Amino acid sequence: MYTVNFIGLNYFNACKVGERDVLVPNGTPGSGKDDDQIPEHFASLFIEEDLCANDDWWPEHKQVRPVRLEIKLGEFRTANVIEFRIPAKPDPYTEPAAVRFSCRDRTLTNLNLDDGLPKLQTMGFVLDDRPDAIAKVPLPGGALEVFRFGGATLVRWLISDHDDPITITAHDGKATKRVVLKKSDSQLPAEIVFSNTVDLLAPLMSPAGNGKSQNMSVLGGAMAGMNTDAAGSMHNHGAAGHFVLYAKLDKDRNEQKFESPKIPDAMKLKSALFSNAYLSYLSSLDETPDPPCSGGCC
Amino acid sequence: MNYNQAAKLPPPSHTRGPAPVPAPAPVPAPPPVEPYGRQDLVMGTMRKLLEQRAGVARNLVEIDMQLEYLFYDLNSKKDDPQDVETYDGTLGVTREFVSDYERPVGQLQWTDLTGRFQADGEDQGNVSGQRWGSGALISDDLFLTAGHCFRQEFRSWKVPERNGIPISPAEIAPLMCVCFNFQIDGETGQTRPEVCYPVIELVECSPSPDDPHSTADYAIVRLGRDEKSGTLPGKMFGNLHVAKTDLTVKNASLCIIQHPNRKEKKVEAGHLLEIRDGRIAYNDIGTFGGASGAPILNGITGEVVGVHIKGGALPIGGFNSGTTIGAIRAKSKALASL
Repeated sequence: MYTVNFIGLNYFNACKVGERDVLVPNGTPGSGKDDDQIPEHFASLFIEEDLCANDDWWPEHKQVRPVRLEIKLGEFRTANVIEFRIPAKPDPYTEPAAVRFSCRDRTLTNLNLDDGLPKLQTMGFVLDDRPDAIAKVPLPGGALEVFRFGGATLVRWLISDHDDPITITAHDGKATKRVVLKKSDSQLPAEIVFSNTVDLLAPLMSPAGNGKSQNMSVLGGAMAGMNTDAAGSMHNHGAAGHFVLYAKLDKDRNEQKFESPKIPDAMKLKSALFSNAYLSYLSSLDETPDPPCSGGCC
Repeated sequence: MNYNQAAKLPPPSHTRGPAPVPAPAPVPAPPPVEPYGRQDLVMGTMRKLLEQRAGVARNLVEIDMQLEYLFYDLNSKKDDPQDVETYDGTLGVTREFVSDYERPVGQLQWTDLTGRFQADGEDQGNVSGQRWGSGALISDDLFLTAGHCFRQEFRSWKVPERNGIPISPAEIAPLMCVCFNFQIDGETGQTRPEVCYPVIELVECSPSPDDPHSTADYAIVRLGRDEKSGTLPGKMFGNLHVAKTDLTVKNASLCIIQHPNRKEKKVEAGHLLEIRDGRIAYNDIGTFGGASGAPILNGITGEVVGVHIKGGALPIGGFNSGTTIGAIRAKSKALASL
């Protein structure tokens, strides 16, 4: 048993019979109408290093990212989380990478997505035959449940029956890469994070505001495509935030449809329960408003 | 119950106690000749038992998970902040307490920046009109909040810039206002009309460009008069009393009145977990993005004993934290003069 925890912009698609997958809108630069206004988003797996047995991921899209967790006041531990990033597409029309998780469950249970996530169809959304998605994740079975995560949402995919060891593959049309997890004797199910957000681990610049990153070296260098000037390509979509990126999946590519989304009140959901270091880190930040790219939809 | 606890459960009783004294080893006899097929039968039975065992283990994990969900269900409700005017008195402080101390708590907001920062080299950023943080009046015109609300860089927000350089905290502050009364009316269930006051000056801020490594995260801003009535906010909404010294009693009652998730004002309460190096921790008070700067109140006296800063409390560990009033007093000239 293990869980895949989706955060950020992910569309849970079950519009037609037989369609059961997650489509991840392409937030990397170079596509869409507003490419100069939306900050770079990355579709990535975040897996704790201790859980990983081996992998042959694209080396330039893989990086160990240490996260510092405060265990008690003033006492910290550093957990290494490996980010496996889906490579950017060469153009919007390239097929999305197919990301598959070990899953032998054949019944997919939707526990509360319709109540907890905004519905794109109510905003005039029509799924394009060739959506500009960076990744597509088939959902053959298991259980989907949406939880509160900070002020936003997290969708947990619980997979009970799977191959052992758990294997994740990503095929970008040219190569198939895989991550294999260790067999675990722990009663805790392994927790994998699938994220489509801005780089939330990018270091802040110096308080003096000189535009220079102050501790980039802590992360051990940058991955291909990493925007080291994280704030450098921000935009002003106001309250809609990055939600307009869902237009990448829309037949009309019309961002206006998504500028005033009706988002269900996350406070009415149960809080997410997790032990994953990356999620723990995200939940322990200063409590200024959440990033505007937080939350899936269906 | 959680997985950690489940893992710590004692083993079944038949495995406990001193190990039995082994009987003297018998003289080994030659192995009996098994009838053909018996070994296969035993192996087959063992395989079946192992499969059953794996099935039971899987079921146990699922049961544990369900127990955890139920356990969390109970606790998560405890961590849900309640609207201040319809508070039911169950969180750990009385309804009267909340009624007495909620009015001076306000919400820090960015003003509408439309038309601003349009000159060459200027960039408005993406914060115009955003509801931003929480805080409280500590005099007629001084508002105590979090220092990081005036930070120049955020991972996903962008404050106005000139020539690629974010404007300073001192310039950020007057682009904000503080609104009171943003709360659900207990009688009508509707949101009350807000009363907003301009921020006219950043009186103190820590950390700051001059003191970037300060661990005391707080700010004090001066508010102007209401445009309509010409009154200072404290005349209308009162102010909170700031404690002289830190609250250091473990498990002491704490209350945080806040604007969680940028929404209407709410109350949560719990207990002091730990205090150390100018920081105060609590793990049973639910807070959310937008609660930064909210006053941490002594749940008995109503005095401000800290400023809420960070999240992190989870049902299986972690804690939320703030800056202690002692750490703020150690830096603040404004508080000394009150």
